[in-house]
Amino acid sequence: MSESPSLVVEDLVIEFAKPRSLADLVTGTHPPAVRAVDGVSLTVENGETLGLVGESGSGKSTIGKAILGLYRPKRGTIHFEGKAFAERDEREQAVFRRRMQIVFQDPYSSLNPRLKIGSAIAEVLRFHAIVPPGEIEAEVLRLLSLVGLPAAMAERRPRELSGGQRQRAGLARALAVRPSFLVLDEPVAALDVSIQAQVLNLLSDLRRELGLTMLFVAHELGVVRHMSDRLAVMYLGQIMETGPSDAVFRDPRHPYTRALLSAVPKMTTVKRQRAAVTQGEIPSPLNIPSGCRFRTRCPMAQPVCETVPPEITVGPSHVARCHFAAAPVNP
Amino acid sequence: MTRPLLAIEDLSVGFRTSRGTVLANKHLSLTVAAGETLGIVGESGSGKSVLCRAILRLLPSPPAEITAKSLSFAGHDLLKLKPAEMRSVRGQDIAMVFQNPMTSLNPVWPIGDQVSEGLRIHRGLGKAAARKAAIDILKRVGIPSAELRVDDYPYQWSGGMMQRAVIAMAMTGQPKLLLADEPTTALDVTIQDQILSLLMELQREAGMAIILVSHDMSVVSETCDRVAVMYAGSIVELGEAAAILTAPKHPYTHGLLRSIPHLDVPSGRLATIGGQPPDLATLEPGCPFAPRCPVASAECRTLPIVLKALPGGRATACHFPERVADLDRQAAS
Repeated sequence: MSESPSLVVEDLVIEFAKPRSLADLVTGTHPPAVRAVDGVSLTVENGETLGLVGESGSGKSTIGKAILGLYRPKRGTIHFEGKAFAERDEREQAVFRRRMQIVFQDPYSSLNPRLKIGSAIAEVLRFHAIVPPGEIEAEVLRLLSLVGLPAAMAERRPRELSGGQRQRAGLARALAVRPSFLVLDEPVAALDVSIQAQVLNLLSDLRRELGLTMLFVAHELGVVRHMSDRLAVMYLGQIMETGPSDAVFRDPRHPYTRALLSAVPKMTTVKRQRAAVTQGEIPSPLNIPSGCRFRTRCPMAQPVCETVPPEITVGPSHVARCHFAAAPVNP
Repeated sequence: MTRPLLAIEDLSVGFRTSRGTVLANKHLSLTVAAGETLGIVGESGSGKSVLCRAILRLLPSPPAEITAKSLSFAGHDLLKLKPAEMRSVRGQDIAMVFQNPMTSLNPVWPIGDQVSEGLRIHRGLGKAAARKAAIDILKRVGIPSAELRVDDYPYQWSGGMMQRAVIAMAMTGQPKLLLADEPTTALDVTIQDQILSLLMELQREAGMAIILVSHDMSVVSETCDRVAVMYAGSIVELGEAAAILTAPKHPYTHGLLRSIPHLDVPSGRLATIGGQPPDLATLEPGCPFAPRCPVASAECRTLPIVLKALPGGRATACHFPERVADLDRQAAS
């Protein structure tokens, strides 16, 4: 691709310090920090949707927020449209905040409950001077219709809307500043299946019509597969496998990806007889296993996995962080 | 044919509100045989959880008003039991596991004590014996080094471990029927997988029946023998899981199945069900799904629905089940 990518993240490390206890203060020590993101590199091309999947505590939402400049990285760089957040002066940061927006899982907690939907959107338009004051009302209506909400919704408050309508309102507000990049953090996790499908279709339409670049963070693999061009599978703060969605789903090379895919319930006509596909739970980020961090739950772990695992390239832009990524899969 | 373990006949649950009585369950009839798993699927507000709570009579009245021809469990009509008798049914004959384990466990009480409590009540064990049995049950539900963790508090456990503890508590009474209301919805997919396998193992060992409430059709397809699909407080389709999920006879079931993004199908446009679930307080007299139904006709908006029997032990509330086949033809063309 000749165009430069929209987003380049290199070797990103984000730590959260635990508060120091009295004993720590007396002895002058610092408690160990929790490393939520541990050396993540990823690229999102212009107009592309990258899906970020993983279980709770894998660090996927932390990455989403770090990209927006909401967390200060311990190490590594985040370049958006060619520039790092820290390199921008105040005026440029304001522009940056317009170019990149985030939509959260629960729009109920991100919309002001006292503000009518129309006012919530108008406030954004006014603050960022997106349109002249005289055109604000018309722009609000345009945005509502863009996300498929009737004009009457402008006069409603968040509690009067259904979950799907609130998510649409949240989207309208994010789109008000005409961003080029959307971070979607579990945008449909709180919605019923029939409403989820409506919102996913809306997101696909918006991406096409507005040429949006997206980082789609979700735990549900079917939803991510549906939305993403490429996929990154996270576990305990690291990307375990990344590649084109089709390749990763058709031929997963990391045992964790395979476990995730087999654990998803399938439509079937036969009741399950099998045991669970994984044992145990994701280890604490305070106590990350040495070597490959998945080895404590991995069905194919070998002694070599206790040392640092290499990255193995298994196809065009398809990479898995496993010693045996290139090995054939046992049926 | 043997008598079913649970037989619900014409159960309705209303809630008195300022806008009049809202019917959250409307004329529900269903049976659960000993040892079988019945899945109840439907969207938020369809009345799935209310049904579970009505069976256990956990709904305070007022505002709830429960009426039924019968609500019989193992030969007893639950609606006629005295409060003390009902208390011995809860936990002992019928146990329940809720969606969020955090709210089912007492945060200031060690988990072991919470499991022991059930053993002392239901099995009459002494303190030491109950503690020992609690450790055994916690081990059985997959808590590693249970003897070391029995005195932990809920906050020290992950969501998956807490749900295991709640299942352990439910098993203390050796129930004949387990009501599992979205037991894995709050959990990660690998943990959901573990909990579903655990529930099915426990079911095989104990021979108990399960009513599994879920919004996830795939979960139901992997675990249930029969399925009831609920919409706006009514059962709109009922029958063998495999038959319903492969050849639905109600346009709502059909739409739900088609709107799920699948792992093995590359992206395209998802089929959707237009509109939103109705407001239960302002339901029109006809079929509640008619305003969203792609094959509805004028009669659907006025004719009240009844669950009609179809061949193969199935039932549908659709006035025109033959039209569901048209939907497939439309989709194919």
